[in-house]
Amino acid sequence: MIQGSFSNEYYWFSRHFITCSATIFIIIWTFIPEDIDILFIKKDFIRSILDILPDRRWVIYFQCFVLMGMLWCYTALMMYNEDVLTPNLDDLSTITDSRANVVIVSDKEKFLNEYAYNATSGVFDLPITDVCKILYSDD
Amino acid sequence: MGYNIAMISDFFYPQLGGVEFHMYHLAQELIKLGNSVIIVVHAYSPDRVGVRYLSNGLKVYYVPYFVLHRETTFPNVFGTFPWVRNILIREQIDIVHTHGSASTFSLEGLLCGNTLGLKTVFTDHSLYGFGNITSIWVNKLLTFSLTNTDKVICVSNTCKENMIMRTKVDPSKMYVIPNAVVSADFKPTESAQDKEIRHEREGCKIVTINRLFANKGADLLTHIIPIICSLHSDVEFIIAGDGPKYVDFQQMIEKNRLEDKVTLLGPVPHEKVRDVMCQGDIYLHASLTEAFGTVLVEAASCGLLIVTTTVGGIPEVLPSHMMVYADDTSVTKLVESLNKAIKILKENKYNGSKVHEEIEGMYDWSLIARRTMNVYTGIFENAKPDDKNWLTMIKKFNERDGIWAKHLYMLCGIVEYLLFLLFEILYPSKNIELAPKWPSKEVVSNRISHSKY
Amino acid sequence: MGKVEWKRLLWLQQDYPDNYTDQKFLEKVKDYENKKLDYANSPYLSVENYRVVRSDFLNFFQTVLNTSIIYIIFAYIYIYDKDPTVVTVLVTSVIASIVLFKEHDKDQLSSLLNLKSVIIIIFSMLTLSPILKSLSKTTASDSVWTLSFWLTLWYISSISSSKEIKTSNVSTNLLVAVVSILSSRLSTSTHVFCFLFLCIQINVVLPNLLISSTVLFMLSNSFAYMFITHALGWMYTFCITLTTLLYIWLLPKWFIYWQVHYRMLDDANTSSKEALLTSWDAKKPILD
Repeated sequence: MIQGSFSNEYYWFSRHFITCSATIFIIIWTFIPEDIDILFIKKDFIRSILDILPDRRWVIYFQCFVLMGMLWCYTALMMYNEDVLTPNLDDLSTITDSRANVVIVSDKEKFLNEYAYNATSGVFDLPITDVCKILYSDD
Repeated sequence: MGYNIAMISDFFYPQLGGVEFHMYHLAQELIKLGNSVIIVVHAYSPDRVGVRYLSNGLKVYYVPYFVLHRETTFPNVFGTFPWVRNILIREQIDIVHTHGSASTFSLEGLLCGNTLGLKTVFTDHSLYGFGNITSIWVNKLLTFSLTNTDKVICVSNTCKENMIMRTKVDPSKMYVIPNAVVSADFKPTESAQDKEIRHEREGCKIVTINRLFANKGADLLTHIIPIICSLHSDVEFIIAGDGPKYVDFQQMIEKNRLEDKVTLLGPVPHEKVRDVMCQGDIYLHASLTEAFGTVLVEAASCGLLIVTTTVGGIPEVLPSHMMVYADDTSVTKLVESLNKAIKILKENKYNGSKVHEEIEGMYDWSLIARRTMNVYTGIFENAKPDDKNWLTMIKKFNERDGIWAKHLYMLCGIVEYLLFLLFEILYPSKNIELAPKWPSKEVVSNRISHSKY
Repeated sequence: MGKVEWKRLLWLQQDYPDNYTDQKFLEKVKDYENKKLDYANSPYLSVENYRVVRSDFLNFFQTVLNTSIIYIIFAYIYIYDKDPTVVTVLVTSVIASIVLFKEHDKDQLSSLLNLKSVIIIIFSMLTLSPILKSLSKTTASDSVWTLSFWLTLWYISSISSSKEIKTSNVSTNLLVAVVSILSSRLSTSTHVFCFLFLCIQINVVLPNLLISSTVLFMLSNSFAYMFITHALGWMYTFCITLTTLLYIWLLPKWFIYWQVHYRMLDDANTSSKEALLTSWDAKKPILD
């Protein structure tokens, strides 16, 4: 019933274990006091280990970087979309573009029957002038 | 009286694919049934940005947004909220219908629609496993987005079962509405007698139209084609499509000297697909995973005999007299099925034009649109008054599995509500000018006839 | 009123609503969930499974121990300035005697201890020793220690735990890299050769000869602890012993907890018709 080799499971379990250990280690590293003796562990021992590891203030800096980085991501994305990617109001690409399949039909009846009020099977753009006439003219 | 529907996704024209055409045709049919439909997508480079009006008054918003990879926008949770909120308010939307699980716009659109108190529907078009890291991630995101969604539509029964296991949504909220084809666009060219004469004289042509990726079976094809060409001297292949495995196909042709038997057409625009299909007699589909397979219905509509693997939702799509199935995704079984199909054609046991008429009745867009309308009316009939109440939605997040996950979901929900309040203060909804809707044909005709007199 | 049975077909207009779910599928899901939540009867709680898992963990621990012995030997030669030739001769004779003792196990040994390739390797090590000695003459010691630390970490992460023949040589290459880097700090060519020879024997030859031997395990453990006590003091030995015991006792239990509660139940033994969670993965093409 049980498979022979668990190598895939060991691989993912080792990652799980390493992540959990790293989390616990970072929590202990951040909070361990270096000026009192904990049970039988002397403070000199703790200080010597903390000497090898980087300065603890880096933990705070790193967390701040990550939080500010996320905030920066959101604002930068919004600013990029609005200022760089949005074309000006008088830009031609707001009305038509190189990939549009614009329908130009002079006969009004034909235009209305075949394109403006008909579900075509191909994708066609309606020209902006005719669209404005349909939407806004009231004569 | 119709609804105001917004379809939100990352994928739409000018990109050509299954999801895109599904959205377009569904939108057109819904407009025919009296609704007003808009579509919200991200802007396509180089210059398709802004608002466009497509035929039948279909309004499309191309929102400028940073595109990350393969036409999917940069994933985050709240980035699209400002403009989607503005669009949904100015168009007075009742229902938000989003498409595609791998699309940022669609998942964020669900969250945004729920926050604004609108009804939401999600349609999924693909199958996802559970074993690799991308699937796990996408499933988690989807579970978050679908917690408060009203209804889910899947394109096949296999897709629905996959969704049930992935997201643990109540099965009675999931509907199975398949894709459809415009069968008038996929008519076979020759009459049945012409085809019989051609089979006796020449032999068969096998067509395959694929994106040449590994998971679409490109490796199987490169092995099958030389074997079939060596077994049958009168069989030719037509291969359309492009992708990373294109070079493998060219190498296969050179290695086996099949230049006069195999034609590589490269990428084919959608309008020409029917012409390519009508040149052939058999359609070969060697895909390794497939939720629905619209291309199979198109090929059958053109009168081709279909040889396919039985992965995913393929066995549900067409009746068995139009198909020859290969039991598993192996070269031997596919070669066997192809031999069987060639034999059927040589003995003139297959009537392509009759099949086209059958397809016309089976997969019609107006039928699909009507079933979708039933889903929409069902939402309004079964809605409870506190469905979109913020507290109820947070409670639903809390009922999800996983200690970390559900708290993260609740946190995201609360931030979304805070953003909503912020934007209500900065850009109040009563100051947002409402957009004029596409007037009905009678109104415009009256206007023209009045202007004449 | 006899209703027609629901068919799993999309092209039929059926008398069922669009949100009808296949009852067979729902039953299948319920069976799967019941089987999964039946923690008490899980096959992973058997003693057999516990033994397998624990022996796999101990094998990995043995490999890590062998790696630490490289460092112990290095400290022995470099810091304590002792002559390694005696130890080398001792260890070689022990291993040679094990080889002769195991001569009846033909296929295991023939691939590994082809006498010709052994002689070639020994002579190439002899030739390369003077070169290695001067490899890092101009590099500061600290960079050598850092480099060897990261290479060791990489080596441990690349050790594969599959029982089949290892197809990739990455771990052996990394091992050789670590040993070469460290040996470049030693003073004479003899020292370099002895260090190389010892490390290769202990890390490559011995694990293939004695697979999961308790004697070797106890021996290497006690050797390592004695050395650490002598070099660093009993506090470090105590910490390391604590973590070791935790590893040997706690981790297999944790692993089995995950197997019982969270493992996907689709094994290779279930046919594709009965499998649930793997039935939507992309199939593998069989190119025959």
